[in-house]
Amino acid sequence: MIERVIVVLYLIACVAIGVLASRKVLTSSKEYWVAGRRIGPWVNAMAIMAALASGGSIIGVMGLAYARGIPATLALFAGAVVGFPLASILVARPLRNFGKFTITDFLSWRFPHPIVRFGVPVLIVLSFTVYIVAQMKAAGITAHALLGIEYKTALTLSTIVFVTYVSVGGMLAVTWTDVVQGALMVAVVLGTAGLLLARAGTPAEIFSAGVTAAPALGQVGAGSMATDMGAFLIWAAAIPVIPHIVMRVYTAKDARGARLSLNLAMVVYSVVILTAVMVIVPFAKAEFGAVEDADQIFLRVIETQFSPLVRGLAVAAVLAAVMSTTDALLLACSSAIAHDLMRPVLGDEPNPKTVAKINVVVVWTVGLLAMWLAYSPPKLLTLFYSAAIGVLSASLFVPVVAGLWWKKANRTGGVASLVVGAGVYLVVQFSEGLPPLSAILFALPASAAAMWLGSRMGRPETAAKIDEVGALHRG
Amino acid sequence: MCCATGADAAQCAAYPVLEMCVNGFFPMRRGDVVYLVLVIVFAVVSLLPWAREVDVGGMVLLGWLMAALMVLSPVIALVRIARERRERQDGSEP
Repeated sequence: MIERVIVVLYLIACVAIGVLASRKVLTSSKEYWVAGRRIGPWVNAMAIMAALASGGSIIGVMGLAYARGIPATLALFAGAVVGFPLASILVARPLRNFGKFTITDFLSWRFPHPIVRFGVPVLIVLSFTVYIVAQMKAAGITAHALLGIEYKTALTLSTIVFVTYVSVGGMLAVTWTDVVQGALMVAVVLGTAGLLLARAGTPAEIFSAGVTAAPALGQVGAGSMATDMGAFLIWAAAIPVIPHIVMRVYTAKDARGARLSLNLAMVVYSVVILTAVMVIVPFAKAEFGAVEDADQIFLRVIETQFSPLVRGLAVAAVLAAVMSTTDALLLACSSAIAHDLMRPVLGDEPNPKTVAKINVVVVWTVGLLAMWLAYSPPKLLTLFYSAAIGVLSASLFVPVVAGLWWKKANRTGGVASLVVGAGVYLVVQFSEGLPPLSAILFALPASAAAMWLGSRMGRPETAAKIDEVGALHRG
Repeated sequence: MCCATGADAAQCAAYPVLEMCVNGFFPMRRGDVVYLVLVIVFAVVSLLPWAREVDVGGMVLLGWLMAALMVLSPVIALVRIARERRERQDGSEP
């Protein structure tokens, strides 16, 4: 009973934040999409961490480590950690100085072409819908395992809650809830590890017991080197360009604040992931042996080791992880449609109330579609959504980085690298016989080659345009 | 590597010590370049086959190296930001 009370209180708090934020954000596009660009580095860091640390990072990271071993799991998550300094150095300052709302804003300014203007938002919505499905599975199995609520009912209830507060509260609501949710998930993961350490010994003893009980935990086994490299590369290349992280760069007060917040977020994220993988997973492996659905391993630990109060907090934390990512993804989808795709119709500074109405429709549509897809959930969350994120890494990384740093990058190169990156990734991803997640190893070099070749063949940029890009690096 | 000899001499002249660039690219801070190269080299070396075969304390080296990367990368990045801030306050940065 107490578990359900805690979860209900938490969900009410999320909706209340959305409603409170809605009074502020419906005054302008700047308020709605980037919270007025007033977010300080510490708050932004926690929000970035929470946006990235999804249900995948709490449920999925432990499921992946349990099923495929710790080294392969750390290869994937180390890619995300390395992505933060890449973002901090390569994109934070110039994109913040660019001062718009979305990654499409930059790309369609740098490489003005309908394929960029319309193709990028479509890719974002498709990729993020898959990402959201994985998050919803995490919410559903958590509520089912720890609260005894039927999977589909839990899925439906959690969808209604986060769709409600995102649709009314915009980026401000997402930021406030992300900070609360980030703090909650850090507390629960570290608290769980702390309680296990108090009972079972030092981290070294727990780790040793885990790898002794199941030696495969510390090995790479049948896992392919191409999969590990692909997983690393997908996330390292994704962080600087995925919209729900880039939008956080735009919310920072200035370029220095954006860089600091990215690096602070990376520290907290590393601590959470390493604690989960090096302490909680070995404990679970020693304690439970084999479980049918590896993604449920954290829930098994909570269910068997802790009191109802802790279970309630754990459910709230997992929901927090799911919601903090899903709300950011929904907002990014919403911006891709309401801001990027519909700007030709609505103009540069549309009526905030019109935008709010479109946003409500988009968020509910994407949310309900993802919920319907999640009724038949995928296995191994992290691999599933990493494959979806890969298409964004493959298609956006080279155009964004070359567009910011290479003076010879031009419209032909930008369009070519976008199309070739996405195309090669999708073709290889759906080819049979190749290791999972290895498509990025082909797609990223192909995208870079297309950028180089296209830029050599196309018309050079004007000196004025190059000066404008150069100005983004100053200040 | 030095932009003073390239087409961007005028732009780079303003940052002769702190920044470096390759012809055709916008200049980047020297520390950023070094940091990026180190992180990329560390990651590439860690992902090569040799790190999948050596077992240390029950886990192959790949796991330990990735864990080290997750710790060292943010710590070094934050140290660099703190240094930049100090240099800015001292007025030693352009």
